[in-house]
Amino acid sequence: MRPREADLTDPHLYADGDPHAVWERLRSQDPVSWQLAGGKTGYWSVTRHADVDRVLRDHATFTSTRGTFLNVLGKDDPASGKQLAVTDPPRHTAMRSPLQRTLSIRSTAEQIEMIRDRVRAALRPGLEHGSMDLAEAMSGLPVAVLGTMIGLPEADWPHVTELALMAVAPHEWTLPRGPVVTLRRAHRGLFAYFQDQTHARQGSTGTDLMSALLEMGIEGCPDPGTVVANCYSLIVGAATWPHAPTSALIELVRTGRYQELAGRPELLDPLVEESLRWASPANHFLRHTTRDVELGGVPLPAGAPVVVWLGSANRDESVFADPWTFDPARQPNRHLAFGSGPHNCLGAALARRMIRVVFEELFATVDDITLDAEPGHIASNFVAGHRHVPVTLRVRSPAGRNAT
Amino acid sequence: MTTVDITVDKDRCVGSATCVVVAAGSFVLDEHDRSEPTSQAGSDLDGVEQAEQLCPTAAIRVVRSG
Ligand code: HEM
Ligand code: SF4
Repeated sequence: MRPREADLTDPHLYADGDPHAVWERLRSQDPVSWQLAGGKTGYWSVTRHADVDRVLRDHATFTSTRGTFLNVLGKDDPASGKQLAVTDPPRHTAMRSPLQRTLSIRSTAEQIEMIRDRVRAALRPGLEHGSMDLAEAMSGLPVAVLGTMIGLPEADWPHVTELALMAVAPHEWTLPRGPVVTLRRAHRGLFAYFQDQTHARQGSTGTDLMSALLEMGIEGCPDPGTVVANCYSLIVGAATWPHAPTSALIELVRTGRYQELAGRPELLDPLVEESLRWASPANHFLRHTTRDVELGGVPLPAGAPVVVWLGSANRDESVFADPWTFDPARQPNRHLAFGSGPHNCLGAALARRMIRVVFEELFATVDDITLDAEPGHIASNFVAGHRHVPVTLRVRSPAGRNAT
Repeated sequence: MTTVDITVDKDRCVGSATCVVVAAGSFVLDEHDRSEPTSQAGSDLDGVEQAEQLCPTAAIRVVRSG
């Protein structure tokens, strides 16, 4: 009999244990395997890059309509048909296109200076003190950028950030009454908030992103439920991106390569990609089989839950040479941090720009960084990152700043 | 005469099917859910250019010559 595998759905494995050791073993010995979740329900676990990619591309066989996160395992997702992430083609395609236009590579170029302002504001206190908690300083950025693009009042950003953090990692940002209550509060809080915001905007056009959201209703008719559900997706989807630059910076500092990279602007684009691979900030997605199917040589029955582990796919030794080395010049870099197939991350172009701006701003203002303490991992099977990353900064003198 | 060369980098394509929808008839997904231009791709340049702009991974290239 095989020894019992650590439970990959247990949030505490990510804070106190080593999920990568589990994935490494599964990739080599049991790439597609049945795993238990909390000893009650189970799911098919998919760990290799090729199999993960296939599951995400083939929406007809691996549907999103029954939910995409482990926390709905054993329940059906109530937002199906309204929320982009849990609607499959063909309806998905029509819903997605207005948002896709606003968030395309080209359209998001117009946001770069706004992003830069927000990033500077987030880093300013740390630069003044010569030290900061990098993770905490950046935790408000997703809502600041998206909030600006949707047109949410600035006074609401801290509250929305708090709810988004609770929603993505309820075992980490836990209310006194526990993670289940935390998640429910966060969902209700966000839905109620976006309901009020949507209500307040009917009849007025608002920002490009708000009009795109209003266009997503059924057959082009604005549907408040759809807007609310997708605002929720945007805010929760976006909440993970600061972990990419933060995890990458930790690794650059540890390996003594921060200064070298700061002086190599030509590596910024591959650095962004390697940060995404390295961090894999969104760690898992759930699908359900719609028919009997063979995956990686293993027969799966119809109606079975299937979990793809992006954190594992992005360390697959058959795709990435030296997967355990953070290589800012890695090319090609076919990471799956943004998923694959029809549901691939809609915010990818924006996320890439935001991550790049964080590096640009730090490299321009900070000559060197040291870690004040070993950062711990967030207790979550979904979001991979760190809650606190205390660092000391050697800030460039204004003259030195001009030189870079 | 202007000729237009339309290509899809299959390594970059993530199979979002955006091109298949915004430029109907000009792209199809192959058996691995990767996009490729069809023989009619040259006849709807507006659609193809939209697909080029909206492709999430910039996998589509449209090169004009002549
Ligand atoms: C580094 C940051 C990010 C990562 C790692 C990430 C990751 C992902 C992944 C893996 C998916 C696929 C989900 C699935 O297949 O079920 C996804 C979908 C999505 N993401 Fe992101 N995301 C990031 C940033 C963002 C941002 C900034 C936004 C908003 C502007 C966003 C909005 C969305 C939406 C709306 C979807 C659903 C798309 C659909 O179902 O068609 N994400 N994201
Ligand atoms: S839009 Fe781009 S990524 Fe999507 S299917 Fe077409 S070529 Fe592939």
